Amino acid sequence: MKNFDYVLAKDAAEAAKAAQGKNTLLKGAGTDLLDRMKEGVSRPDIVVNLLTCTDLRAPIREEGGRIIMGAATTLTEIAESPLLQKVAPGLAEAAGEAATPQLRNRGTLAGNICQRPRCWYFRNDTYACSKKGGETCYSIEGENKFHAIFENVSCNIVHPSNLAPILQALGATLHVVSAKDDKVTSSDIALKDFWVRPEEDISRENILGPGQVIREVSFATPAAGTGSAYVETREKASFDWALTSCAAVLRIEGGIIVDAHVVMSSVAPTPLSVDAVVAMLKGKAPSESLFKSAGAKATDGATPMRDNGYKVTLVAVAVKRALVSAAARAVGGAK
Amino acid sequence: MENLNSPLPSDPQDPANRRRARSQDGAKGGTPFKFGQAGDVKEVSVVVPPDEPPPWQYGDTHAVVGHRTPRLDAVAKVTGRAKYAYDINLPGMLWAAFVRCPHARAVVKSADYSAALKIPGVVAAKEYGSKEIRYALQHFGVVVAETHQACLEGVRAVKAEFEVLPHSARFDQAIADQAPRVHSERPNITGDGFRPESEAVVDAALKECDAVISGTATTEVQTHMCLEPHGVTARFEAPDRATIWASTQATFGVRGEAARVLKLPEANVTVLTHFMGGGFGSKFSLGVAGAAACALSKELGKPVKLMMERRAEHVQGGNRPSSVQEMTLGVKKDGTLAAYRVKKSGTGGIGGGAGASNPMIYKFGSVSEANFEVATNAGAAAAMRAPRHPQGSFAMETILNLAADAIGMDPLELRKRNDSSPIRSRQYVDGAKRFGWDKRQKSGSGKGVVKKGMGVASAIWYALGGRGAQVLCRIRKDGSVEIRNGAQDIGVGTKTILAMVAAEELGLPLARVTPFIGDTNDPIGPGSGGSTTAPTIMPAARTAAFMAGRSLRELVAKKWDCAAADLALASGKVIHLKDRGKSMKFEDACAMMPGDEITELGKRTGNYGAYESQTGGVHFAEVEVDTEDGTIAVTRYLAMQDAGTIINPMTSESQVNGAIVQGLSYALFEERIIDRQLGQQVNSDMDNYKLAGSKDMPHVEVILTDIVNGANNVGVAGLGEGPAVPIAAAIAGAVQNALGFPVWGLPMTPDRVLAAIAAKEKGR
Amino acid sequence: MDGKKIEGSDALSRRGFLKSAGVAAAATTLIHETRKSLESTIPSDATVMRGESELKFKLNGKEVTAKVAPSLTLLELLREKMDLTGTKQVCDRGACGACTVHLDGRTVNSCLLLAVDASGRNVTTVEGLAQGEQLHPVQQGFVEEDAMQCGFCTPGMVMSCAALLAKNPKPTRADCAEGISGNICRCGTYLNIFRAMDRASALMKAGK
Ligand SMILES: Cc1cc2nc3c(=O)[nH]c(=O)nc-3n(C[C@@H](O)[C@@H](O)[C@H](O)COP(=O)(O)OP(=O)(O)OC[C@H]3O[C@@H](n4cnc5c(N)ncnc54)[C@H](O)[C@@H]3O)c2cc1C
Ligand code: FES
Ligand code: FES
Repeated sequence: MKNFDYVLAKDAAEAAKAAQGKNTLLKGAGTDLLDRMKEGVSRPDIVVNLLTCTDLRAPIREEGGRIIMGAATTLTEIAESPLLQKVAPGLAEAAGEAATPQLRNRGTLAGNICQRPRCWYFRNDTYACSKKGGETCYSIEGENKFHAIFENVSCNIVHPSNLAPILQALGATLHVVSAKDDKVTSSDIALKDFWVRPEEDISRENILGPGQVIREVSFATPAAGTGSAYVETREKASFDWALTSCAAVLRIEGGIIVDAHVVMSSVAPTPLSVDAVVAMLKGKAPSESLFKSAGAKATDGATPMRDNGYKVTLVAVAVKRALVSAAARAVGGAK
Repeated sequence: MENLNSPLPSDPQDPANRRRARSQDGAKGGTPFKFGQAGDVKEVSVVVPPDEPPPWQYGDTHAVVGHRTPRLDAVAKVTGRAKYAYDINLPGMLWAAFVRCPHARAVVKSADYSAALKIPGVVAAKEYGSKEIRYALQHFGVVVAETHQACLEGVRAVKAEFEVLPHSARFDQAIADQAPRVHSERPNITGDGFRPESEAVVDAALKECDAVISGTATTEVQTHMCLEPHGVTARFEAPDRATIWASTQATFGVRGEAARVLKLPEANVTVLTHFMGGGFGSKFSLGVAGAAACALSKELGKPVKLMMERRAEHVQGGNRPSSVQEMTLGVKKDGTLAAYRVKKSGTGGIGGGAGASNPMIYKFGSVSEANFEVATNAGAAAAMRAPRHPQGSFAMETILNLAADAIGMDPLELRKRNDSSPIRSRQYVDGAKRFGWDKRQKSGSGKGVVKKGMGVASAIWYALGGRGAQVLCRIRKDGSVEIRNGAQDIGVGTKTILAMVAAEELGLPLARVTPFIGDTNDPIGPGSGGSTTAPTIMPAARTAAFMAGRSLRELVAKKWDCAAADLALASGKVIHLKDRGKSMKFEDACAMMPGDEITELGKRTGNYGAYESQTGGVHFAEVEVDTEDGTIAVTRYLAMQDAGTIINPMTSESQVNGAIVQGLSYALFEERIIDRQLGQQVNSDMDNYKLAGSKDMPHVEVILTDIVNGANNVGVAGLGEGPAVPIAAAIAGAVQNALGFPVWGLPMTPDRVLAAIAAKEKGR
Repeated sequence: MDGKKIEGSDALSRRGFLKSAGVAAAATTLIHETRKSLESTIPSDATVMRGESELKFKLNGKEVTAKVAPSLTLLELLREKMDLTGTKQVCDRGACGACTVHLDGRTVNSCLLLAVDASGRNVTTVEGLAQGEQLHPVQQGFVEEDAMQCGFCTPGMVMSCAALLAKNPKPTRADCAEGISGNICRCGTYLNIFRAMDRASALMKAGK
């Protein structure tokens, strides 16, 4: 890892100001950033440490009908939060299944959402792939077992975050601090509007620009009768990246699904909300067969590549299982 | 009574054995000796070589040997005190790392090291190795620096230009028409086709069969993934000495290689391997990293550490070759395996050594084999626990299961009928009972999404050790005892059993014996390969302790005016066998020494005969296959495993557990994935190269079969290979039982499992 | 291959040399400096570390200081500057757990932790677990159940297990499996680790 100047920002505003410059990157715990720096894929001259920002460490709390989490909340804190386990078990579950205990003890919420893709061509500095400014997406001709089956046009990364799909299904909002020279402003960005597809800008995955820092993440406290779940399929039971995943949030009233949010991930460059599935769920009574057809429906329009056709089958399973689990929680009230 | 010394069925190829047998032709009688297993004990006579104690025999009880004993270096390992080659920090030490080429075939046109040299801390950056690149991540330069970080940054700063050539990095690329040649002098595919004579016999036999089954099994390349990478810390000590801390499984081999690199006599080079972080067959030589570190240390006059970085370790650290095995098996209703045809190919990268070995377990009527090796522009293969066998076992046991289904016979019964080993014959019966094999359902009969299945497969290995070790035993005047061999303990507990054998022989508690291992200034020992370390060293250890103890007995005999043979060493004492109650403390006997110490060198002589010249095992697996998401969970595993005399049941079980975990990992997860473009391994990390973890573990039971083998005065066999043979096969058998059809490719990842299910449904 | 854009860098070529490497080296003394940088937007009153600076933290119960550059990981500091080599380097990417240490009692991968981020914190490594020659119950359990082979993963495993036991004194096998799911053992010692944890748990209960 090459050396860099290290800014110990005291709050989001200072961090945002410091991060406007060239060759400057933000760092939460650094579990993703350091990995990239060691591979030589990211080589900042200046790194701004967000762990020293006290306002990013605000505890998980409920305020004014919203659940609010500091951006530097760790995955362990999310997984073990009694509040989240109660109101959004799908979020706690997604955090608890991410990475390893050691990484969860450090990895932050915002870092998780903003982590860069795990594509093995992107992560290898000897491949001048299009995401790194080269001319080729090596996954098109190359080894694409773990790559995208949807929206795989110019760059076939999949979004690796465990938290993004469930937060998106919960309708989360990012509270962002932005600096322009010495001026600092705040804004809210709906997570579903946060993503940048490769066709829009292949060099990044989200809309944050220089001088922008996520300070908090929040979502409306789920109403009574809501169940949430996150399910991933993977090769190993021990730590492994998801092959496909699905987050589901269902509200069931009087035995009828009145609200539904279904987000697939690990299948496309961004988390994918599947509206077609939502439409077919609303107004119906939950049942395994309904959820199975929802899973099948979710795969409409998939464009698998040479080695990843199996992911089409798998994501249908993930969708079905997430819906089954979310429905059980909605009805059962508890987990 | 049969005389075991001649002829020598265990190791007839060993000329040393034959010579010794002849030289003792004149000897009359011999020592009576019982060996075998419960229910099958044979009494024979052996001529015990001079200076050796008589062999331990069936029914003997031991005070130390055979008891569960925590390894003696356990505390060093759990406290972090254990120093591995990677951990050696020396004053003035430099770090070295290779500069590597990202292309699978290329010529290094130019390389500019000037930027690297400008990095503070970098002391050297230059060409090293060939400019002709034959696999991705091959090295062509080296950077040496005062710190690790400066070294790695130095590597990154080197600018090189390559003439990139077309490559055949993948198996599928190498076998394609017009594939670029890996070795200019020969085609990518080499080997022997079927012999027409055998083909004719097999064809004829197949016609007589009640069922003929065919199928093609594939296995992927597995990399060794030793946690401690290949490499050494080397210190040239001017003018003419050197010390090498090596991560190796062959200290003496490395000493020879290092001496040649350093141009020093072997006597002046010391290789130290006190602890070693995993080898599994891949660490027999000094290797490219070690050679570079030695040369650089001499050149720069400072100690140099060169341990391979993880990506390179995947590539240059060795691997188990892949395989494609096309099989046809003819079986008769009574279970006779009448004819077997198999065409095998596989790749061992640029190094060769591919292929699959059918473990020689079952009786096949006629066999016809074709073997091909496919060269690829990929890292060279290396021996890996039971080289070639897990591949062969997976294919052969899978087609056996299909044969059993085809004739409506229980697969265990089919195996029993075709296996003549007395060891396995018993293991089949005992294992089936223990495992609850009777609860196994008919293949494919399970309902529901998650289907359960059971599988069985058999183990074999062929080594009972041989000549090539000497052990020094020293008893000091203060009563302390040391036992020394210069070979390494690669994590299997060699150091501990060395002390156990000596303690047993000297009648001392284990704590009274201090073992030394992993230092080439001590007597020679073997490389740890082919399951030969324990069976090669331990008989010599016992002999050394016996000789030292004999000298001590002689001292006491003189004092008591009796024969040394009337005295025994037990319970920390010298005991008079004929005069009950007469005894002397071991340390009091030692105090009578005229000099300061008794030092004896025990030599490993050849093997006597043996109860069985091969070890056996039968393994059972139970799985749950999720037919929706294609995942497989191994829920239970039972290994019935023989390793002759078990010196330490505790570490032996650990070693079998380890084989099971690695085999499970091989069966379900591990696969080197090579990019068809640049030809690099894309998953050369530890998250996309998938190793079984704690949550993938079944409930495991290891039963070490009690066998007194008789091959030598200890009768221990190794456990490196045998138990590693059948694991993937047993698991695959269970999957086949669950699904009703096999998944023909390893690893059985969800994509392969789902494809197998889809293919079956399509066929319906 | 050239013409690639590397994130956070002006360097376009993949082996492009970085002007900043020289900068870092020139500034050997450590700065907790307050400055208005011309080329950056760092606020003038921000705390910036450049080059080596003095790091203070608690290591195995003792206050220690060390000179470190921001880019040095805690793992490198321990192994390469302090000769505390019990903590192992294996993947160097957070994927194997061999480098596990406790940071304020929680397990972390020291390969992905900047040493400077340990400032003022409490770090325990495998060397600091035993009380003199009295092994920690987890270590004792490992010894008695032979929960090791080559031993290279063992320090990391021990640290994960110790943290688990502190949180959950009577873990089930599933708890243990989860607790060490971030640690890879190539020799395959997981099964004995489960047993070792049972023993450690019993030892803890007995107050040993
Ligand atoms: C071996 C391994 C396995 C993993 N497995 C998983 C997994 O299964 N699932 C999963 O989801 N993740 C996984 N991860 C990714 C892991 O790094 C994240 O889960 C972690 O949460 C990232 O948090 P961090 O604080 O360390 O991020 P950092 O590395 O600090 O930052 C990551 C990115 O986010 C940006 N960033 C951080 N904080 C902010 C902020 N407040 N505002 C704006 N930008 C910000 C940084 O600039 C950087 O680009 C794994 C990582 C590793 C190394
Ligand atoms: S070395 Fe840190 S996790 Fe592997
Ligand atoms: S004991 Fe060897 S890696 Fe775990």
